[in-house]
Amino acid sequence: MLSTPLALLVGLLLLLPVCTFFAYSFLTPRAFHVSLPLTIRNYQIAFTEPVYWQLLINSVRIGLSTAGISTILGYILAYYISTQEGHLRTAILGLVVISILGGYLVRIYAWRIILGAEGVLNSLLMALRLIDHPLGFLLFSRAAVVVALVNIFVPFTALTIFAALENIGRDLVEAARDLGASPMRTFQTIILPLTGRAVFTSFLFVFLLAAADYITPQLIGGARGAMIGVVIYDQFIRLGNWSLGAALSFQIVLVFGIVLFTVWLLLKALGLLKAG
Amino acid sequence: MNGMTQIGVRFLTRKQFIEKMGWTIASLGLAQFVSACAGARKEGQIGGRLDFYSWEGYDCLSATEQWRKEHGVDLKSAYIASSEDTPAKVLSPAGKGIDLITYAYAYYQAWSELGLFTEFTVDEVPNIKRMFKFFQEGEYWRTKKGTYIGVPLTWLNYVCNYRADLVEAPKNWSDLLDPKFKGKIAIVEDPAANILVASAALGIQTDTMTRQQLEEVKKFLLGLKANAKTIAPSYGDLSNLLISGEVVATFVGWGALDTWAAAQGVNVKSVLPQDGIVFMVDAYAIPPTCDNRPTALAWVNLMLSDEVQLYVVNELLTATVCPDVVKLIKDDNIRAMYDYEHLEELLRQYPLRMFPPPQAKGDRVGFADWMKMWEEVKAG
Repeated sequence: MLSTPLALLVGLLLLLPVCTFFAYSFLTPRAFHVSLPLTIRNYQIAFTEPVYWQLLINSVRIGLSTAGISTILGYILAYYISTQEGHLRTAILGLVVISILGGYLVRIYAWRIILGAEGVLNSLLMALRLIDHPLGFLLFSRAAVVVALVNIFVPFTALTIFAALENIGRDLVEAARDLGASPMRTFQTIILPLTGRAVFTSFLFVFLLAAADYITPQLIGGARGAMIGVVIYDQFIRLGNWSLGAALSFQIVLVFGIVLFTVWLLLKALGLLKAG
Repeated sequence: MNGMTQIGVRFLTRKQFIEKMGWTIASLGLAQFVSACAGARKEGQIGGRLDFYSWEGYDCLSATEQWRKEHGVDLKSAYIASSEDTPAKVLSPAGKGIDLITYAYAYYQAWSELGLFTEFTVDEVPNIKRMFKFFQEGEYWRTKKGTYIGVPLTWLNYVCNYRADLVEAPKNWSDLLDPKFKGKIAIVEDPAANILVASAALGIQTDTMTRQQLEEVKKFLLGLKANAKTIAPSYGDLSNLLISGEVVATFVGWGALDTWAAAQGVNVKSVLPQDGIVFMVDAYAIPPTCDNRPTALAWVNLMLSDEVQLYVVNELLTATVCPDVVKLIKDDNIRAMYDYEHLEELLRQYPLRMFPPPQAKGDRVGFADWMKMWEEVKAG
C-alpha cells in the first residue's frame, strides 16, 4: 500500500513524459505542435541522416572516455581511502565531498583558466622555459572536455565504489591471504568481483551524464565539440519540430542502451559481475 | 476517529470544524473580491498586470520604474533564451496572458503565418512618428493597410570584432578564410546571424535561397570553421575569448564587445566588413494572448520615449530607432558604435535580409534546411 503513492509519482514524473514523447515521435510535425497522421518518417530521418550519427558518435566517444577514466581514477581513489584509517581517511573523504559542492560551470571556467593560452599551465611551462610559446592544443579540444568532465565525475565514482569496498568483509580478504593469495590475486579474485556492480553503476551514470552533456563541449570543446544534445535542443526550440526531436531522443536511448549493454556483457565476461 | 478534531488545545466537533472552515474560506474569498474591486480598471484604462516575454533587458526595468509606479503597472517579466522560445511559449497553453513579445524583423513573415501578432494604429502608439523614416515604413512592422504589427525598439549591425593590438582590421568577411587566421578566430553559436552574414558575403539572396546556394554558404562556413579555434556559445563568451587573447577576430560579432573589452583595458575594435553588411532590428509586438491591451499599447509607446531609448543605447549597447535621441547620447564612444549619420543610406544600400519560409518549397530551401546545414557545419 505504501508503494502506491510512489508508483503514482514515478508514473507522473517519468512515464507520462516519456510516453508523451514516444507518441510525439510517431506524429506528423507542424510548427511547434504535432498532428495526425501517424508516421515513421521521423525515425527514418533520425537513423539515416549522417549528421545525426556523426554527432551521436562524438557524444558516445566523449561519454566512453570520460566514464572509463573517471571509473578507473575513482576506483584508485576509493581503494586508497578504504586502506587508510583515522583522521587521514576522514580528511580525504571530506575533501572528496567538498569537491562535489563546487559549481559545475565554475569548474568548467576554472579549466579554461588553467588550460588557456595565457592560463596557469602555459604560464608555468613558459616560466620554466620548457616552451617558448603557449601550447594551443591544451584547450578547445576533445581532450580538454574529457579532462574537465573527469574532474567533475571522479568524486561521484569514488564515493560509489568506496561504499562497495566498505561492504567487503575483512574476513574474506584475510582468508584469501591465509590461503596464500598474493595482494594482486586477492584484488583480482575477491575485491574486484565484489565491487563489479559498483564499477558498472559508476560507469553507467558517468557515461549517461557525459554523453548527454552539451554545455562543456561548447565551452571548451573547440570547433569540433558539437554533440547530439544540441541538435535535440534545436529541433524542439529553434525549429519547433517536436516529432523529430522526440525521435532523436529515442535514438539516443537506444544507442546508449546498446553501448551500456555491451559494457555490461564485457564486465560479465571478465567475471566482474558474479557476486551481488 | 471519534468525530472530534483536535486543533491546538481546543476540541471541536466535526460539524463545528466544517462550519469554521466554511467561514474562513468565505472570508478569504470576500477579501480577495474587495481587493480585486479596489484594483479594478475601467475599460481602456492603463494599469494592472502586464506580462512580458522576451530578452532580458528589453523590459527596460530601471528606465520604466517611474512610469510603472505612476500608472500602477505590475510588470511580470519572463525571459527567453533564444528567439524561437517565443512561438513555442505563445502558441502553447502556457502562453495565455502574455501581453508583450519582441521579434527580429526577419521572423515577421513566419511569425505572421503562425498568428503571433495583432494589429494597432499609429494613433494608438503615437511615438511611432519619432522613429527614423525607415522604421516607420518598413513592411516588417507596418502592414499594407497602414496598421502596425510591431514597433522597432532597437537595431544593430553584425560586425567583426578584432584585437586591434594584434591584427589589422579585416576588410571583408572572406579575409577570415586566410590561413594566417588559422586557430585564431571564433564563430558564435548564432546560426541565423551566421548564415545571413555568410550569404551577404557571397551575394546570395536569403529568402529565395536554392539548395546549391545553401551548399555555397556551407562551404564558406566550413572554411571559417577550419580556421576557428572554437564555436562560442554566446556573445559574452566571444568577448571572453577576445579579452583573453585566445582569438583575435570573430565571425560574427557585436559592437558592445569593444566596450566590454575597453573596460578591462583590452584593445578590441569592430569593423563592418564591406562584403556583408547585415542589420538586425528587434521590434515589440502584442500577441493575441494579450489580456491587457490598453497597457500593452501604452508600454509600446513608452519604449520610444527619450528615457527608454537612452537606456537602450547606454545599457543594452544597441542603437536607437529615434533620430532625436542620437543627439542626447553623451558618451562619444557609444555614439560612434553605430553609423546613425548614414543609416538610411546604408539601409538602402544593404536591404534587410529575410529568413526563408519554415519548410522547403521545391528547390528553395526552408529555415529547417538552414538549421540542418548549421548542424552539419558543426559536426563536419
